[in-house]
Amino acid sequence: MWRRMSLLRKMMEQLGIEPERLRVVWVSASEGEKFANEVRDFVEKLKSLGPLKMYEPSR
Amino acid sequence: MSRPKVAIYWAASCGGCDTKILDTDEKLLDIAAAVDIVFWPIAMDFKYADLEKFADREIDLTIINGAVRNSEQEHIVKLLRRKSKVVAALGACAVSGGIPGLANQFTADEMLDYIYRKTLTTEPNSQPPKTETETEDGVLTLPKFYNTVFSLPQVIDVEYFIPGCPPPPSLIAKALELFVAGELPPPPAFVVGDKSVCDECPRERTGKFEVKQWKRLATHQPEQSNKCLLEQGFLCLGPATPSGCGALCPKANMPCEGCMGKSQDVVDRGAKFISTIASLYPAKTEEEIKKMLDEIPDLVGTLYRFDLPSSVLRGKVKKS
Repeated sequence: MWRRMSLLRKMMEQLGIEPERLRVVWVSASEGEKFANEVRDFVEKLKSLGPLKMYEPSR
Repeated sequence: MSRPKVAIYWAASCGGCDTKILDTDEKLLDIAAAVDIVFWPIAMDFKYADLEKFADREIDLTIINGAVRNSEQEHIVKLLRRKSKVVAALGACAVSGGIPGLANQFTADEMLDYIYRKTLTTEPNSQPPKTETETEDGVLTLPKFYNTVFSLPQVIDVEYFIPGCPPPPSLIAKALELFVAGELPPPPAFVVGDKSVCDECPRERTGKFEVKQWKRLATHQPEQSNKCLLEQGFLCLGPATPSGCGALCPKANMPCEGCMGKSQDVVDRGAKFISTIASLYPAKTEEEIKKMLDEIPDLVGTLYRFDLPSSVLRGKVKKS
């Protein structure tokens, strides 16, 4: 799984998308607090990065 | 009963697709006898003005190869669309952007600056071409070089797709024969085989994939054997590519680069192929994963060599 995520992260980076926008976390259904903390932390991270900029075709 | 009118045009193209039309050999003679070629820049002397004279939809079939990346190409493919009943995209560039599509990782300014000023063998003080240049004889104009490379369906409606870089002459001949017989399938349709390149490839697969190292032709020789190239550790895209080419490249010791495009049930082939790469390589530790990543220096080029413009991400995001 880490191999796939690392490859995806490398591809994103090469195409100008911040690799921090991809996060993989292992959380089970019984780890409610951990899940909430991870999501909260990730949302803060994303807000600090700003809106995702996708490739815009232009002439 | 007049013969059907056929136009053939090249946009951002290397000329290879046109040579493959000629490589249909004797079949071309039958086709040429059955149709009236009204426009074919590489081979015939018709002008743009001749195209303008056609009524809308008067041309029965227009075959366009090459991607769209400047204002002239966009103008002419749109003109041809108006004047044609049916349009077929010929070759990887028209179908999905092709090799020129890799330029979506750069802006026009970055490219022109590098090509005209910064390559090793370029004189200093060279100037990139401009859309208008004043000379003593008047103003010379050039088409505008776009930032983005577009595949043909991203610019006009396209009914038929004949992929490949270049497309196999057998598929070109098949498409033209179906057209002449009035038996083209309902659009949109891709003229490809219904299996993958692996099914056409004569190499031996043991089914044991334990790639110790990803190899590239730049640095490694394939084995002197009939062993599957993917099993040898080369990034052969055969499993992810539709058949129809006869696996020409693997037969010649070259890993498939995926020029025949993607199968229709996959949204983004590059992203999907990441799973294949990951599943074949037994890296577990962070160190082993880093080694795996270092063995594929240009991941985007490997995954999207022929179809970056038509992938989900489409190109490289510019830093603002």
